[in-house]
Amino acid sequence: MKLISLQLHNFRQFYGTTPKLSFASGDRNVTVFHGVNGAGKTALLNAFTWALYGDFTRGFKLEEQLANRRALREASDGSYVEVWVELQFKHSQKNYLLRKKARVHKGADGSPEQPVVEEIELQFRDESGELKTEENYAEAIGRILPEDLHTYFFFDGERIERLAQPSSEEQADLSRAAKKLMRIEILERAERDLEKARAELQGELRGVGTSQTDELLRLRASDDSELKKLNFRRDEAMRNIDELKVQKHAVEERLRDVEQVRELQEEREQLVQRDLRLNTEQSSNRAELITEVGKDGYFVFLQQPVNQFRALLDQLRSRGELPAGIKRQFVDDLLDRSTCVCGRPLEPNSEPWKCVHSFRERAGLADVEEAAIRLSGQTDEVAERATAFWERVSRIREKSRQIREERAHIENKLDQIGEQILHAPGEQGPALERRLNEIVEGLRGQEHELYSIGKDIRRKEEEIGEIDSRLEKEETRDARHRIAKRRVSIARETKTLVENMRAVFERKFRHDITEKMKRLFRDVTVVPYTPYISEDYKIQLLDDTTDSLLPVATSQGESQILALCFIASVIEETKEYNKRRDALPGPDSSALPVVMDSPFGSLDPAHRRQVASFLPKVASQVVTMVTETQYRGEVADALQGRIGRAYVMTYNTPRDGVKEVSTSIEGHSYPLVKKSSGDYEFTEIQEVRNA
Amino acid sequence: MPGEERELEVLHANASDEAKDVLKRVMELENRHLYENQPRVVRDVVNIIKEVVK
Repeated sequence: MKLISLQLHNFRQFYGTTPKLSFASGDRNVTVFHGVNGAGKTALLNAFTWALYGDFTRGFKLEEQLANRRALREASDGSYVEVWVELQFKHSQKNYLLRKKARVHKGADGSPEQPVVEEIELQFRDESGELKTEENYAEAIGRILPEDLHTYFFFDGERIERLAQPSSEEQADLSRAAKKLMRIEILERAERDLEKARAELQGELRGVGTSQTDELLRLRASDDSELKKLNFRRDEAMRNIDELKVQKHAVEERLRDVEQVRELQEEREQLVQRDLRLNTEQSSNRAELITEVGKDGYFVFLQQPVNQFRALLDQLRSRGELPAGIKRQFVDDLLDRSTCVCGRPLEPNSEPWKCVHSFRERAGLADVEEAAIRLSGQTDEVAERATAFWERVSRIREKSRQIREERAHIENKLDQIGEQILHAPGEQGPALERRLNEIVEGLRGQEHELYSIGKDIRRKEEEIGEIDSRLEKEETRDARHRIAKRRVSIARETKTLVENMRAVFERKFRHDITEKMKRLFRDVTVVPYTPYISEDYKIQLLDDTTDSLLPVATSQGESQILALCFIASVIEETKEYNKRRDALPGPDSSALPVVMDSPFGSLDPAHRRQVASFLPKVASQVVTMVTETQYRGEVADALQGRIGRAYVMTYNTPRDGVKEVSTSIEGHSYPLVKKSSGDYEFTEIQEVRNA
Repeated sequence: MPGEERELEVLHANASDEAKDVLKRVMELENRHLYENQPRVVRDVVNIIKEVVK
């Protein structure tokens, strides 16, 4: 922020409009305002803080006294006095004009009321020269020099020691201000927002739910194991069946070799072959029936609508409405010609006319007749196909019945043969038959087992299929869960990273500031003390002469020096920090002015000289308001060659008998105190020539 | 102070690439909204993390 100029109107001691007060910059960056006590030096400081932040310094008098007394006296009762401040400054290549205007109403008793701010406008010219207005002036000023920092750059020197001995509330302000200047605040914001984001992401993670994959995988493994066992049992049953079949075949062969039962055995084998063929036929018969039903089965359900259609047609015929037999157009032509086909005249409303006219109604059914003829053909086909379907089905069912009967007969016959062999003469035949029965019994048992295992295998495979499908869904959920979990973890990691970075930056800032303060304090003072900034930003002086570095009680002057050293160190550090590559984003603090009222008040001559010497070197601009006693001597010497502009504030007093005072600057005399031409006080400002 | 710079370097070296990416984007976001107090900044931080961790 580079201060360009300030102009006041009816602001406190300043009656009417002051000249535009320009501020020095560059090598000669000091602007001095000379004035006696009461001339308005503190008012000038407060013109800055009021315009920029709507704030006043601690020592400033009541706000109702914002308007100049002479202007108020001249205003009629019930009217108002307009007060304004215009501040021009430059920041980040832009020229700003801040205009703040207020009205102070004069009450019926002549006393001023609370000021009412009428207008606050912050205009700027951008790079193209176009004039623009900042919509939110407070926010814009906050970007340039944050409000909570202004007490370090616009301060009352007589009270500055408070900065070095802050209350706990002020320590917090100091800490916040320092963090803002060093852009550490942005890390705090990031830390806070990352924590809130982490909490939100944690909620999303809970929403995804816990994974059931492990449980499903456990079930899957268990089912796999059971399926494996079932398959083993199936293979075993199949092997047993094969073995039993081989044994059966061997026994049957041996039965053929036994004389007494050979014929029975051969007959049995033929019957078995026949039964097998019948079984095959039965299967193909069943397949044929299924095909028939699938192809023409639906004709059965069309029978009812076909019957309804035929009944309707019969009704129409019985009423004589079908066939229609005559076209409506033909009847209309006869009526138009007024002559019947038989040659009789058709006079309207005559009997022949009525007779012919009645044909018109019947003629309307011609379309119905045409549709009926067409549909009749189709319904006949439906009926025929339904009949044919039933015939084919009956034939298949009859064949099925015959097969079933024959097979039942074969079964009986086989039982009889079995019995006969069992009771056949000789021992070998019956013994082989008993063995055969055992084998067949075993085969049935194994086949039943195989069937049962097959059912279990199918059920298990279905269960596994279902688990696989659920696993697939779980995998998707698991992927979401993994991502949600990772997001929470990254939010936490980033927050910790920011937290640690902030700790490093803060430590570094306090260390750098302390080092700078030490250097400045050593240059300015002769006492063997060292400044120290505690973690809670309390500025202390420690006794350097002892190993334990005990804190020492500071005098008012030392406190003021400490505070000035602190401000200078902050400015220096901020400027350096601003240039550094690793600087955090934040306000541009490359140029920081210092506006100070009576900064040398409590200092002894040596300290005045030192402070006056280092401040212009550190701050980009110094604007100071001084009395003659504060300025003359050491301060004037120290500022030699640094002053770019100087002003004299001439205080006009209504008091009689007051001695007029003047000062000599650069060989010219300027009045500091004058007798007012009226019975009111006011201050005029004039620039010092060749300052 | 080389010590502190080294500390920052170590902090960055030990951070995951994702955390560094999130940090960079969040700092840009915070800088854009430095002078405002908008709850949507948190929403944007959540979105940044979601974009980085897909």
